[in-house]
Amino acid sequence: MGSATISIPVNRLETGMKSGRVVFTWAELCEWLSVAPVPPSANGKSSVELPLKVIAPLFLAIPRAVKSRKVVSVSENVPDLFAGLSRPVEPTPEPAPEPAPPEAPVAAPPVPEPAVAPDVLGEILGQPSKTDWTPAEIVQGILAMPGVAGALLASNDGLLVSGQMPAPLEVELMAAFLPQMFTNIGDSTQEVKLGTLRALKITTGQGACAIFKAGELCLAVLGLPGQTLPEPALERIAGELAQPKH
Amino acid sequence: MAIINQATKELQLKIVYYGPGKGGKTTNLEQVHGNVQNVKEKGKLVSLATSSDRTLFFDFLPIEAMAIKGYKAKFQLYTVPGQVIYNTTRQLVLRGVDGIVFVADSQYDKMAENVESFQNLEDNLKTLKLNFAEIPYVLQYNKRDLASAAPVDYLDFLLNNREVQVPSFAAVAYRCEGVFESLNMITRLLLNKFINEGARKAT
Repeated sequence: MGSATISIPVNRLETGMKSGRVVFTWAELCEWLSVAPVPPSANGKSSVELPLKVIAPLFLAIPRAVKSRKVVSVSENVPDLFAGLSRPVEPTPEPAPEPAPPEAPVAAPPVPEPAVAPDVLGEILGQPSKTDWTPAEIVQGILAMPGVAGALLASNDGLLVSGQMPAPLEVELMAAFLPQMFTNIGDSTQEVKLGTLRALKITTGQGACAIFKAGELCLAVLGLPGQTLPEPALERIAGELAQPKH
Repeated sequence: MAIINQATKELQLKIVYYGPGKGGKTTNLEQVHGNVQNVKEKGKLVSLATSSDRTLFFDFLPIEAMAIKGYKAKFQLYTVPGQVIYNTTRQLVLRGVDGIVFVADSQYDKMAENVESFQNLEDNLKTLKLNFAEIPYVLQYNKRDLASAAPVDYLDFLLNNREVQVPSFAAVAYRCEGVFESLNMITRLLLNKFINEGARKAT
């Protein structure tokens, strides 16, 4: 089986390629293998998704009849309103690394990983020798701090990166509202000339909540009822998360 | 639908940035907003929030305040929330659309989402009784800097396969690469349509 090749009928492949997912059953794949007939398997009906990264270049290399199509065109008399601002894509000198898989079982969007100075973050979160921190680890580190009941990191688009809040709070809902809170109150602070909003401290029935702008992320930390949040340490964490990637 | 103000000689056009969630639609608007220099002639980037999602909107007058057949062109740029569940919001934003920039995510593992979003766009236009064939649109293949980006040929195969081939642009929106190319083309397509329809009415 190790040296086997597979010949997938183009019409079957094309259907998957058009949908952006190439999925067949194991039994189908066995039929198309170059080796001697594979005995029936109990897993014959299991779906197997083939990696597009491998399949797409092979599929594109298949010669196909090119249909002549009408192409959208614009009269030369129509002005380029933004021509001076155009910036074509520059070739990337070195391929960027593959994005890291999400750490937490949440709908984590592909936001930039928080880039942090490891010594500072490690020092604050009590693991001075730790150099690499994932969002989930940062959240867990904050949760271990005194007076903290919940913490979350969200993108500035309001999508959850990682978080944990006590019931009945919903981390995704909170994440969605953080940018709005910042925008609405930030507009007011600018209006009254208080300057740019960097952090919000709110006290509600759930306890104290501190929200920090951390570069492309928002950090929200909920305190335990009647307890004080470790705000200086949280501000330092937010400051580190805001640092450009090293 | 384009609004023509005969009194002020102003043409108002609505452009919607559509595409899968986290594909870079908001980044496009932020880059446009940040790079159009003439502050007096661009609107403020405003976040219109519903109960749990967001849609970005801003309008502005192009820097040059170009006159087209004696009219000033004023563009309103919108994004839709890309997440699948927010379809009602997407339909609302699409109402009265004049042109579309479809922002696709170039990563291999986002191909199915791109197709789904494009299909969703077609479905929503049908629901709104709008004819896709009559709405100018361009495709933007964003995140070209990522190693996991699929070839442009494959994105064309997936998304630019209709009867009429539309302009497509490679982009790295957060670096503003390809952002104004896409915007420039969709505005040109819209102005071209305006001029041609004006010419048809005149004859």
